[in-house]
Amino acid sequence: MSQLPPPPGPAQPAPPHAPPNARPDPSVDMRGALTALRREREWRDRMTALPSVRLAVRASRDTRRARRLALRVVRRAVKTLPEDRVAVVRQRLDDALDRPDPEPLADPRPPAARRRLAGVPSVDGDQAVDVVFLLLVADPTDDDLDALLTAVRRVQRDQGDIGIVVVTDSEAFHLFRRHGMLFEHLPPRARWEGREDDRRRGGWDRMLGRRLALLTDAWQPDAVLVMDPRPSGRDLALANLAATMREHVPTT
Amino acid sequence: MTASRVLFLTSNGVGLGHLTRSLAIGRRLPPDVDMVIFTLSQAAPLVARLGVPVEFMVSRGHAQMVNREWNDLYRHRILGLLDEYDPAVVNFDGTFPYRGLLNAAATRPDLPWVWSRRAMWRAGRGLDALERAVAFNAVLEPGEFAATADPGATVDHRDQVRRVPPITLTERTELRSREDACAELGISPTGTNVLVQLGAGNIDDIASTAGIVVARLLEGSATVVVPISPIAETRPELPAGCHVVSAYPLAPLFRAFDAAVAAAGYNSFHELLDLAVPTLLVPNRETAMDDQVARATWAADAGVALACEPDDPVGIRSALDRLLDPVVREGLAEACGGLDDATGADEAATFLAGLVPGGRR
Repeated sequence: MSQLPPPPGPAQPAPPHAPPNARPDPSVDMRGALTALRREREWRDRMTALPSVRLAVRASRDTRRARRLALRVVRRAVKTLPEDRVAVVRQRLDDALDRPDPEPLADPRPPAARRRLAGVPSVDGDQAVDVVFLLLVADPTDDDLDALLTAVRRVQRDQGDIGIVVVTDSEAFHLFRRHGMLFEHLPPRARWEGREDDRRRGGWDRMLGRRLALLTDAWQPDAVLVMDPRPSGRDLALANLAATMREHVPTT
Repeated sequence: MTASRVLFLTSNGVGLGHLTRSLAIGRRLPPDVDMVIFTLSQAAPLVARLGVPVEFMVSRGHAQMVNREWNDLYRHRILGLLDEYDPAVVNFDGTFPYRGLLNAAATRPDLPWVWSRRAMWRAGRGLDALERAVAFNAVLEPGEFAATADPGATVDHRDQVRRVPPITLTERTELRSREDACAELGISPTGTNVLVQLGAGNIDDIASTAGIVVARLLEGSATVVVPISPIAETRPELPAGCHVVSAYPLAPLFRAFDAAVAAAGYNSFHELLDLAVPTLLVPNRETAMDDQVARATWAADAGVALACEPDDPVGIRSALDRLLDPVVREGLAEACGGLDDATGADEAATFLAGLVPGGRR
């Protein structure tokens, strides 16, 4: 049974369109990125030798991130100082940055990154992660998704302390259960298009923009990686995935 | 005229009950009221394939997150979906309203929030859940055929809730003919076909019980049909000769079956009895809140079904022998005809539509 009709009764007319929503549209910020994404895909189709991964890496530029980056750099530098000077320098650094709740000096992990994934056991049993990625993969085949999740788990095992949330419209939920991966689900394009919401609020791409804005706000990732699931360059894409993630892992 | 919308929130990491009940109500909303479901059930794609707008978030159990973090995310997602879909009413179907849900309700007091919770809780369970009713504008209680045997905490709150008759997804007029149903399932319409539906396969290890049931039915030359839940993570070990199917919803195909052996969960129980399928109930004792034993015991006492204990092989075989007797089956089906109509979904839909501002209903 592919469709569940309404129960027997009077015929139900199609619902009329709703008026435009007056709320501010959070997709506006994402629209440019998505347009660029599509253009890059088209361009890469012609350049088949290029890797098919990492269409976008969106690094945060807010003050908090800059502060964390400064902390990392300076902490790396102070490692070269004599032991008795390290604590003094770090304390002064913390004072200068006006940190309301100082982290233990021996713990280099940025506080924000452990926010959401703190309760998710990582592959090595640690309950905190250094880096959080949102990994967007739209419309993958089950095989592609399986390969991707295998690769992601391998990266997590190799790197440790990486929190990854896959954002997808795939309905192969069993693959996420099998790999033990956390994921956020989007309505698939084919199901979204044609709905009243689609007509009313500007199509699947704009819904994607709104949803990414929501998820980015919720997870506050260090980077959003947009994967291309097409098989043309899958192996290379997965190899690049690991390298891309390593770029974001702080070395301490 | 602008379409209004009801947002159905459901729990369920491992089952279909809450999701199916929401679907049953949603499809009976008036034409000018739409539905959208936000579920924690891994079965979300099943409902999406029926053409229903469905949103999904991983349950806390599957996410393996600590409570506070997960509830914060849940609240965040609910509020985001309220912006996305702009519903006029929110209905939560589940036995325990999550903290994230309560916080979302507190953030949006402009909306009517309804808690739809079935009764028949196990004695002494769920008192903390009932305290959370104050966060809702109304509580909707799907009815029970076995209401008089209800031992749970909700009984004392009956005068504070909106009670409706039992809720089922499928109506009698939607049953397909035996020939059509058998053709869809790939079984013969001429034999004795028995449905064996002992749960989602996740809550309890049903392998041994299922094995006993299936072996006995096969000895009796019955055609055994075992629906495999698309969300089950383990498959029961079944003897060769079973006919395994995966269909959702299955109830429209019930005429394919001469009898059923089923757990006594809310949806299976009410659907099988409402559609007069002669049934042997084997209650699942391992549920957290649902008192399946009380439900099955009531049905046996009322003569509308047979019942036996899941860990009693002798009792199971004896009950199956009775179920395979055509005279017994005829008596059970006739007794089911005396049950009240399960029209709760219609009443619940009318109730929710009545909460839509502007008096559209």
